[in-house]
Amino acid sequence: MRAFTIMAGLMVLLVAVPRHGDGDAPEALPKLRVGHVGHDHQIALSVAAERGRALERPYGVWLKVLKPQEAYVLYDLGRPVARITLVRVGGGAKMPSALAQGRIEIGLGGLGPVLKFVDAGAPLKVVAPLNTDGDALVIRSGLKASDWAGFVRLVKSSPKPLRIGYKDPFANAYLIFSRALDEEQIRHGREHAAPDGRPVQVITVDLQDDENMLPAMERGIVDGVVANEPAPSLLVQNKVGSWVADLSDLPPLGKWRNHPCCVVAASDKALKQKRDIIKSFLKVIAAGSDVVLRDKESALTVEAKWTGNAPEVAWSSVSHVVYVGRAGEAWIAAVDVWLDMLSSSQAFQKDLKGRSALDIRSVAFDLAPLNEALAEMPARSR
Amino acid sequence: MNTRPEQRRSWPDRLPGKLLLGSLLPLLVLLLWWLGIRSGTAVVPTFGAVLEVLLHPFRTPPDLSSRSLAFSLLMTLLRLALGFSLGVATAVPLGFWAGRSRIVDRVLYPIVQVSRPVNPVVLLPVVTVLFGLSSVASVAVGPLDAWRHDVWDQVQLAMLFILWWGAFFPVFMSTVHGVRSVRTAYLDTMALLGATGSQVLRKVLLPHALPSIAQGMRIAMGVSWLVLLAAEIFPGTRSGIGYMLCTACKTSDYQYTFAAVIVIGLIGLLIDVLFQRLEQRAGRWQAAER
Amino acid sequence: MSIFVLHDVAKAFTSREGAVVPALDGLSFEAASSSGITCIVGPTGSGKSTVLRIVAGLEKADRGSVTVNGQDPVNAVGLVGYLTQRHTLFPWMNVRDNVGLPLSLRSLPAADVHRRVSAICSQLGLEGAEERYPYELSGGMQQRAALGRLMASEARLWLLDEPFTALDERTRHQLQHLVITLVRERRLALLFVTHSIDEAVFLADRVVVLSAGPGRMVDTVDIGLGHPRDRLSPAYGGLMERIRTRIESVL
Repeated sequence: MRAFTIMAGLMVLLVAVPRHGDGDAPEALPKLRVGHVGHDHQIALSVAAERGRALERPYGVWLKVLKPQEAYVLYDLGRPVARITLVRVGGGAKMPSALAQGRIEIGLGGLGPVLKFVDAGAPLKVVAPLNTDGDALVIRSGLKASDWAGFVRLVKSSPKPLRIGYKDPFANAYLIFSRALDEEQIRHGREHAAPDGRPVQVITVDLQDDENMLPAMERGIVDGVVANEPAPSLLVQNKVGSWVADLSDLPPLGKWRNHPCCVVAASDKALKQKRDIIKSFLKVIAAGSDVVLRDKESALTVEAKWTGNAPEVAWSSVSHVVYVGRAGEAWIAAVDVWLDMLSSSQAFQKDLKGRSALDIRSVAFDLAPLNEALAEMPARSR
Repeated sequence: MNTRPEQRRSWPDRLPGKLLLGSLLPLLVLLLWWLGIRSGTAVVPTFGAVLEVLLHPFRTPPDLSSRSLAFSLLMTLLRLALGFSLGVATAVPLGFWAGRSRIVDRVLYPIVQVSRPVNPVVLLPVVTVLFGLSSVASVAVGPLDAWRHDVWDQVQLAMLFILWWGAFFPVFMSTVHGVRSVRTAYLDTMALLGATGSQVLRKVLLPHALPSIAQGMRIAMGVSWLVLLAAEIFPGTRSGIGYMLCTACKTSDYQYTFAAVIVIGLIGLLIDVLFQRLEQRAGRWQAAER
Repeated sequence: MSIFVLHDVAKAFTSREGAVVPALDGLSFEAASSSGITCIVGPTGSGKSTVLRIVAGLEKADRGSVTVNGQDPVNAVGLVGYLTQRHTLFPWMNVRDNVGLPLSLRSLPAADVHRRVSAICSQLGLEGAEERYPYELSGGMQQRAALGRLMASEARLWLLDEPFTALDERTRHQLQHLVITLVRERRLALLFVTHSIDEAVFLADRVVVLSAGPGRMVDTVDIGLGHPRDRLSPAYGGLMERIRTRIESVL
């Protein structure tokens, strides 16, 4: 009993008594909750996390691991600036939803869903690009189509509608695919009858999430999917589907090249209260993107480690994604094309309705922290 | 001679009293909502925005890949009615059989007890392997023409199966109980009167078991309602209150989400009240007998 | 011919623990005649109710023979009616449906059933209560309705197992008078189990006294009194005393 009392007292002392002179301890640092999906469109973050201190010299920032894939200390110019918590929130609307709810302060996710939430009044801003392209159409093995033209022929000659799955009504893959079908004058939709009363030729099936695509293809629930990497590579490697087309090449030809995919978005509140931390974090993202572009091998290793995918899947997936660490003119031009497309197709119904691409960017984008962050980085890394 | 004294019901037990007391808390919540959320956010709409949706149930949501609230509710209720009815229609006869036959009961017992605790929603991926996205329409008129029967094409067999699963076991168990608990004296009376098997079923077993069956149905309906709403989120669904709720979250149209939640709650309450009435009516003699 | 005859009847039951419990052992008696009331009295556990169930064909004797109207009780369906202390009426049916049950089982026209049920209810003092349910009736009214069902069944042999025990004395006496009237009018045979010696002497033409379990025949007492019987008469008292003494001798 006496020994127990002593032990209990010691434990209370350890926990309750504040430690002095330990301002660098993770508990004392400001916190930043970062949401992500965990797939390789966002590999810049995971690569940066794995590189650790190796990034410090070239970029001035680095992440010190506290708990792998979950908690890190962010260092900028030799000083710890924040404790970073990575939260796997999921893809599509889940990331902007988590931002709007305040569960995370900064997130990595698709541009489309983020804009949808901004349209609805969510106080979010796009603060940096992550990647472009990286979406594909995959159909189940057994269907005869090896390219887009072949797919179009297949659809038009099929006696019954093909079912093509997607993960989110605002996912890039779905948006590009449905515009391309319009271009080919193929009737499509979620409903089985088109507005003119005729049966659709392609039924688009909401599969809710990437994770449902493999089982849906395996079970024949859908004849194909349009999705971002690594889903297409996963399906092909598991031999449930065959690659048909990179969606960047879909008609109207050239329109979808370099289309923006994933971005970094932050809440207005976080931008106001933690601007400097966000800038440091964006430096990490920029650094990670550079490493991916420069050293694909290590990117593959990280991808496999963080997603659990086989190396072949990782290789295929990473090969199809273009990683962008800077918001250059090319990216902005591609964003404007994308915004015009969304606007003209009535995607925006509230705050962004009827606005030009420039207007939308002024409301939904804030690239100033990124530009400031890049300006602070060593000259050779900007 | 009526031996029961006249009972004057006090005001909380009368309908106006029940309505008043029952609506106090919901009204309080609505008031707090109305006062607290004046301008709405991306995830919490104003009460006015939600009311707008509720007051125009036939309007197709302009920004949502979903049908109108009314159509969504129709689909949900249709699926519920079909699946639940299938469950009851199979559970009651089987329950009667198991209640009367020890052999049948012994055969069914292990599989019933193993299956009963399994949440039907968990079965959905497995069931989808069996049924795919086939629907009542695709079975009735073939997959090529199913699209012409829009409503029936959205009643998926996989969904009906899990609804049947959710409804079957409570009704089956309660039917068995209702049949087994028939007093021997009643059966003896019928035997002495030379009643046939079907007469015993109609005059004794069925009416005796009815309160128990009604109780089982009430439980089954509650399970089915929850199961259905979860099932409507499953890939491949394209309508229903559960689907609308989920889709609205994705497009940040939370006024539809909240409206769907309110409708779900109200319908759930209505269903429970109806089945409670049925149970009371069926078991009036039973309560008095006790 | 006696409407029922028991000869050397034995019956045992097996308890849940597997023990064999004899209920009857070598019981033999018969009805006094083709109509009339035979009462069975005896201490608790003497197998009185078992006798009724065997005569009804609801239980089978392990030994001996039982005949009803010269045939096996199982084949005497429709000839025998049974009434117990509780759970005779179906609680989910009103009085009209309960009384009319035997008629509806024979698929008689509804109008016919209605007419006959109304007549029975009128005779039994149930007028106005036809639409009530058993739980809305007093004990006495319930037993009247149960008797009404027996009347509708046109059974010739009524087996009554302590039907009036739970009732107050006044109601019990009313129903005893009613039973006597029905027996006389319809020329019924009754086998009536009671633990009340007074009730047995008041009702019966013959009283069978059973011993404590396993039930054996101890005595058969032919009452020999006409109806209506005077409970205060010496003959009545003497018969009660005789039966009481016989019962006490086997306790």
